[in-house]
Amino acid sequence: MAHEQSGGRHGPVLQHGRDPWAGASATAAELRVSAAEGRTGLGAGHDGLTARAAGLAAAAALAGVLTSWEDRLAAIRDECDHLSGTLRQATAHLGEVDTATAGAVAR
Amino acid sequence: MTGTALTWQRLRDLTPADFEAAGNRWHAVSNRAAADAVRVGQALTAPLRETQRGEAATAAVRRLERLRRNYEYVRTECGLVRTTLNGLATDLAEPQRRLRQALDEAAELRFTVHPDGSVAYPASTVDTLLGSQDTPAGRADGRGALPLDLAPGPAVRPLNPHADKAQALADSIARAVRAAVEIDARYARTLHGLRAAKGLDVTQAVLADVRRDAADVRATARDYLVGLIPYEGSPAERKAWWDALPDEQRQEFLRIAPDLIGDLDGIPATIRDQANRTYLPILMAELASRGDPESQTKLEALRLIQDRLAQPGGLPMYLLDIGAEGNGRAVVAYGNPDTSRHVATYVPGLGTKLDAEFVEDTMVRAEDTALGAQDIDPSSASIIWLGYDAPLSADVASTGDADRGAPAYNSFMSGLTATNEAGNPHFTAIGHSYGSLTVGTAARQSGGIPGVDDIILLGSPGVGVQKAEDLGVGRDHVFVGAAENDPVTHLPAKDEALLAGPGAVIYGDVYDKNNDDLYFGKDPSSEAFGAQRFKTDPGPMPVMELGGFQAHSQYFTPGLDSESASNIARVVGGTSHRVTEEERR
Repeated sequence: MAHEQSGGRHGPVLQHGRDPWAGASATAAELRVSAAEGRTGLGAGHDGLTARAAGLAAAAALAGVLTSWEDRLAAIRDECDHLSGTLRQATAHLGEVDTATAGAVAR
Repeated sequence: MTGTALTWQRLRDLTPADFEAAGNRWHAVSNRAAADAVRVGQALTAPLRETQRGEAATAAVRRLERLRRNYEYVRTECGLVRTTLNGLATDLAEPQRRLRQALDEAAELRFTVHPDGSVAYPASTVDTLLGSQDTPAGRADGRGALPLDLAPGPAVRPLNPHADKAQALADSIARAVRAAVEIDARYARTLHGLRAAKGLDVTQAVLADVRRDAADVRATARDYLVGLIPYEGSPAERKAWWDALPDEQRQEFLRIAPDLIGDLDGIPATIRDQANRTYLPILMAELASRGDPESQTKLEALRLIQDRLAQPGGLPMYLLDIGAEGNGRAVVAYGNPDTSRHVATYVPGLGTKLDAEFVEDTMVRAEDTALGAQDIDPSSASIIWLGYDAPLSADVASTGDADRGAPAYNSFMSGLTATNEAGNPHFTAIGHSYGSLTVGTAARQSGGIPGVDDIILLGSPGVGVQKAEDLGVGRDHVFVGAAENDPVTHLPAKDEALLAGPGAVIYGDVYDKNNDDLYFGKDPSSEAFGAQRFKTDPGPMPVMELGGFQAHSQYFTPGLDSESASNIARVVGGTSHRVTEEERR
């Protein structure tokens, strides 16, 4: 599948195969689901905890910890989403303009 | 009541298990992140890196690497949250138990516990010298301080017999609440530090935070983790405990409290090794922060050990203990002692401590022994055991260090018998110099040295017994290497030394008719002791050839004394019938 697109002796060597990009896109989509599920499960495990543990400073601190990690997991989820989309695009546009894809990925 | 919002009612109604349940969710997230990190590496980064070239692929790989680091971050920190919550649940349960006990007692006595924690008791009638007297009801305020901190009570005490009991209960309630408040504050601080950084970058600063967080959680939740370990049990019982432990708890120990299981006899060698390798940089950082020369010496040794662990090739090393206590601790195996049929454990002697020389010389002796034994039977391992403080110079040598080292050595050997899976393994105890006294002392303890079949005594100043059979393995299984020019094997008996002073080495014969009593008992190479003496190189003369203690220090080294090193290997490798014999003294 891989084929060389040359940049000559001095330019960068381009070497692409479609399958790795498509496979990577699918895996990134699965990771998006995993991050979302993890985030939901984590939040659900704390339902009512702060109320039941009223008066404990640790419970209040835990609520802050929970929110911060829900945010982080949301950021990871969105990153996976973005990566899945860009990697899919890379499959579609492969061989057209490599640098444009690089720009999209690095955005 | 203190100014906190945690009241006795809230403490009473708390369900500590709630925190454990929440902790399980954090654990699930941590596990999921560990799996996802692997997927990023294997299913995303690797195929792109291997098959794709160009700017797009390079940019994608860089971005995927950032994602993978995020998963590592989630895995570590969420694991820490989980341990913290488990510790909180465990630590809060104790004051809650004491509070509930006090409340139950108050209810039985029909006392009333008020919202502020004071305890009201009813009026009562008492018999006094003046006849029956009514005493009024009253109320005792709780005092959170410990009994010794309290000022003496009022001089005139109410006569009501309930008053003292009510006061004791009010105090118990106040103390339980105060303890819970302290625990709560400690855990709140630790949790506070475990909040995720914003964004997606995992910077050096974030990683530094992770290291600080781990240390913080270790300190806060230490009691909880220590409480889980069956210290009172035998090594075999600890092995059973570890085997039955759920994987997540094993991971908790390995990641957060590696120092607690790294030196625990009965824990499998591969686990101890993993724990100690995690603990090594932590211990090094701790030593680096201390300024004293002793810590720097230990640090230098640990650096050298770290280098050796990282070196590719050579025999596989297992780090079975490291520590800074006393003169330093290091137990290192060459070859896996849990899967090997033959295992030797060498106790070093006089002057041994955790320093560069230990790594560059003493450890190499164990490595040489492993190599020699593996030539005979590849299923052989050899351990250097610096699990005690050896005396640092001859003039302070007494039996005290051996007495303290012997139980530790036996515990270690008992751990090996519990974790070895080879089926009827063959164990050899090796004692060099003062270490032979430690081995001899261990052998004299009830039951002898666990699992040991053969004993090798090298350069021995005496082992505390008069006859080989007193070592518990049969005289045919006690082997002695005593180089002719090794001055330690000619030390006069302790009482002779007192009489004659330093010159007793020369005049020994005058005081000791058969010249077979050494500093710590009968010369193990003597006829009277009755062990198997094997051939060694005589070594250079201490005086004439300026050999100093050279003859005392070359038993293990094939390049200096191949006769002795081969004989050691033969015993360790299970072919002791092939040792080359030397006439006894």
